[in-house]
Amino acid sequence: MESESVAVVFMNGLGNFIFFTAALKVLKQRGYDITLITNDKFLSSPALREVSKGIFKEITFEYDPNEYSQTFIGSWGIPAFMKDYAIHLNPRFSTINWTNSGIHEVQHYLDTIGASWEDYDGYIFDPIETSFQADPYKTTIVLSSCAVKNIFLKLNAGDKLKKRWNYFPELSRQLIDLGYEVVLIGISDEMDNCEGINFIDKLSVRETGDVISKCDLLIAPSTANTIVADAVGTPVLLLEGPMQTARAHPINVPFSVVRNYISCAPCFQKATWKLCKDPVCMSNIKVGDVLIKMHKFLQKPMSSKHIYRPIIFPEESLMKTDKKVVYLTSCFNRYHILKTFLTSFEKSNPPDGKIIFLNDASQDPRIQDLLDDFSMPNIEKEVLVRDKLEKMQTFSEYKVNPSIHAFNHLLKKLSAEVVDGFFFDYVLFIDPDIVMKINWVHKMIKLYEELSLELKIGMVTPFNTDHLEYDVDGVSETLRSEVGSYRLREGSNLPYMISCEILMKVHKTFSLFGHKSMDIGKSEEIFSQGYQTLVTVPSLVEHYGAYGNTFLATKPVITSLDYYEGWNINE
Amino acid sequence: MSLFVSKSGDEEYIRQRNLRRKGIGFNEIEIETRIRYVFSQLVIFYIGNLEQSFLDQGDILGFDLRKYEHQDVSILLHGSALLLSDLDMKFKQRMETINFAACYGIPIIWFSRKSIPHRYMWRFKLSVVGDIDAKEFWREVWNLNL
Repeated sequence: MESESVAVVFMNGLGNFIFFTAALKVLKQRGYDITLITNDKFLSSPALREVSKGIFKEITFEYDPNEYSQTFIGSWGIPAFMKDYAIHLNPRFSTINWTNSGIHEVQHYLDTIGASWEDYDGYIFDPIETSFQADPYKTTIVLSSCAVKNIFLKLNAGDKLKKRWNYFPELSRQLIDLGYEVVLIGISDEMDNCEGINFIDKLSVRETGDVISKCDLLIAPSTANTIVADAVGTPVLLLEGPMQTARAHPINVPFSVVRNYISCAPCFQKATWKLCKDPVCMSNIKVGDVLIKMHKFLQKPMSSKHIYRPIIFPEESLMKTDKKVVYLTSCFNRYHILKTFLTSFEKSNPPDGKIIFLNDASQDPRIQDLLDDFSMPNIEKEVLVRDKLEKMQTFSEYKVNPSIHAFNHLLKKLSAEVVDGFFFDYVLFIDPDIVMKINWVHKMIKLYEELSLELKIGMVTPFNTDHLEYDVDGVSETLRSEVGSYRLREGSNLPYMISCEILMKVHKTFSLFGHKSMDIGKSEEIFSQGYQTLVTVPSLVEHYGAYGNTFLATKPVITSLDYYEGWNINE
Repeated sequence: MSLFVSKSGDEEYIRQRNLRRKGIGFNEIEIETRIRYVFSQLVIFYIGNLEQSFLDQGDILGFDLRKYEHQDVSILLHGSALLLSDLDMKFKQRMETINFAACYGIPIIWFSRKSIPHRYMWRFKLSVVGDIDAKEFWREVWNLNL
């Protein structure tokens, strides 16, 4: 069977490309044939040519949308001619602000192809064997200049000087005196007068990878060689001045940072970066600082560790209801989160009804398999698939309200079912990034039925901000304070529940649904008619925060579940 | 670069040359920017709320746990780690703090029984999510060799 052909858009330096291979590896594992859309500078760099060998089906400087089933384009590091496409598709397309985002570059590339950190499986980088053998009786330290061979962007030549560290000669001598074996790599006069095994300007990138892999530690300013070390598994001691460590630190190997405090650093890509003529952030780092940090680091290199213990909610007797509920769920990538969601949903004792999934043009093929395999005896299932409406996938975060489009799509499907005689009592809008407590739907129904006798309640949400906030990326401020506070999204707060009666009253007819920006469940219309949201405290769901941004909306009714502790739940 | 340090009790004040925007250009000025604090133990700054049992257990193991309450961010340089529990800060403050710690190689620990910021997973040297008891948690922190 022929593989699906996809295009990726990239234009940047060597280190960036190695980070980018993390996303390419995921695409390869999904079985895609990848074409690279770039500009002519890419192939003019021998280093990039060498590292990219064998990864791509084709490298082109032109773009024809009809040739590819999907095109992945990030909001950073793309040729100018591709920006027009991106902006045409998404007027909110903007370049990424590393200073504020705090996102690692690898994460950015994974986001671009619709993958998450759970999918990360290393880089694509194969070193070429060299004759170099490290002394087995000594600790071998490799020193790298900030300039790396074959960087293709000309502007780097000047900028590199700002990362330059002038004490390598002294450091090499001190290390040899202390009994270490020293290896020198990189280019330029930065390493002149250094002592040690000299590979300056002698190795290709993949050969450099081999040399680094045979050493115990790399000491270098943040540069492509530190990323090569990350790819080949050698710990790194970063000499940091103007660079954003948060954006480009090694992620596979232990690393440590030597940085002397100065309030203007890190300044990379800020206004001060261009104006700085005296990078004191680098010259402030003395040999003694490096040696102290190095000794400490060699004794106890620190790797990352992630522990996940599933949250176990207290067991409760199962509640019963004769109400019929429709669950509407839109899924976009995030395989691992969806898996947890489906397991949690099964265990949460949902009332009988129907669940309608929408696979909202996920790039991850596993999503469809997961949805197809899901089944529950008391719940009818239907899976809708939205074709990739836009072949070019811009950085999803900047799309305009994709979730709302998806839910409107689901509501249209529901309206068609109602016309065919389908009946339900409640409809639940759920983003698949939550874990639910047992009986959560029953409790919402019970609360609603009790309180709606006195109050004008339009919708019920089981989620409030006694949880950690959504994963907001600089779009709006998060409202968060004591338990009992609330935050709503687009006038609503996913997940939420609306009764069939309210839905019909507000909408009159389902056929009015359109693709406006804010008509998810016509929530703004519900509020405009004087209805309020009922928010449960504490929350009946735990929220992962995989999607969406938050905005302040109308004033809700807040109720405490503690009040209902005396419920006879089987009543 | 000139760096002047003045002392007052346990606090040290640092004067640095800095760039400040003036019109379309920049002026070099000298300002008293930061206070350096002097700590003796293995200090861990934490943001959010830690349960009392966790504070007590950390204390037994010799960690000097101090709450970071949006003071001068450079105080984090004097800590061995930054522990993020249930966050109670706004996005900008949060990212400024996390980025600062990451830039200076200060290990960041994520600890919450609720949710996790998936897009920032790479930031954390240790992340613990879900139900865990105090002893087990601090054992993991201890194993980090701070």
